[in-house]
Amino acid sequence: MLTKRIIFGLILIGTIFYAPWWAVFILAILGAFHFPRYYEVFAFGILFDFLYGITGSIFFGFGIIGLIVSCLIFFGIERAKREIR
Amino acid sequence: MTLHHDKLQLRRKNIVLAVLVLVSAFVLLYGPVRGAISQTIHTGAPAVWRFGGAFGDTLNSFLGGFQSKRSLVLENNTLKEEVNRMQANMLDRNILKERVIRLEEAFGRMGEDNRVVADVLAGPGWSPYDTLIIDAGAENGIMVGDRVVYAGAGVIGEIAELYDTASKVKLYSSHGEEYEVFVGQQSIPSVAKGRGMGNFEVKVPHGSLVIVGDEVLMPNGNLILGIVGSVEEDRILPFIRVLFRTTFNIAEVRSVEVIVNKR
Repeated sequence: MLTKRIIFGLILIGTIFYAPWWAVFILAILGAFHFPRYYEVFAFGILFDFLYGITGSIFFGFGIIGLIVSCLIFFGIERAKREIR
Repeated sequence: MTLHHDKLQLRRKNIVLAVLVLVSAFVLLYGPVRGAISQTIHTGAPAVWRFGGAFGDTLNSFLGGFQSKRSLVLENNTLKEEVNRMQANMLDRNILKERVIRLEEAFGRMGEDNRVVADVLAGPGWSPYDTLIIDAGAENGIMVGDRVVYAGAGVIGEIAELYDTASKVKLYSSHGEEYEVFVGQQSIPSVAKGRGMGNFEVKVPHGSLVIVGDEVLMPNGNLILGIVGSVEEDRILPFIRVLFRTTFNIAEVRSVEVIVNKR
């Protein structure tokens, strides 16, 4: 499981660098759904903000879209998993 | 007992998580820390993007030998980008060059701006931020606020964050961004609002003469921001809504020029 998790993480990092944001978004949701408590999603969200984000831009100009979306994915998917069980 | 212990452990984990999220938010929101970490990340990131680009090119040329259809599509894309570049050149070069030369002669100073050519490492399609990452930075004499143009004169944005060998360009078309512009042949002064991916909206007073195909210029430098694509007039409203966009597809931009301000 850990090996799978690491490989998936590396794929997600590659996606952040080489693929459009919506591909990162879909993969992050898949990861949060497949792996138990997928904390890595926060690290990827923060990396995304550092790589592409600028302050004084969209979403009130804070430049933390990645962090906000990763919070929504993590807590949203964890809740969904609890509801499904 | 075990259930109670599990719940307690989960609560602890959630508290640690909440603290981590808050710390992350602070790091991202506090300028100096964000700048320092961004600087570190962007020291290595350009190499990752370049590696990806080189790998993609190699893979494409290898597969091109087997897949003629794919290579034709790629060639078509390259040609499209070249056409975009030439269209942008054609639209502004002739008019603007004459205008600039006349003005400079009138003021008795022939101006030349210092430009740095840079490759685009990651385009606006990569993130919802509407930014470009380019492979030129402080080492090339670039400063925050320098204007970025495509194909000579089509202005697309300005340097927002600067690193040693890379920079982030905030596109003028970013959502919510507002800039003073001159619209049409009458040079009607107005404020353009960014709508993302090279699209803009501007409101001009009722009765203004604006037609599809008119140029929209930025003040200070006569740089073209876009071409009017649609004019929406409603007799009830006191203004005309003009939608315009850049003369080229921003997602296809592969290299840009940074106008380095003389200081």
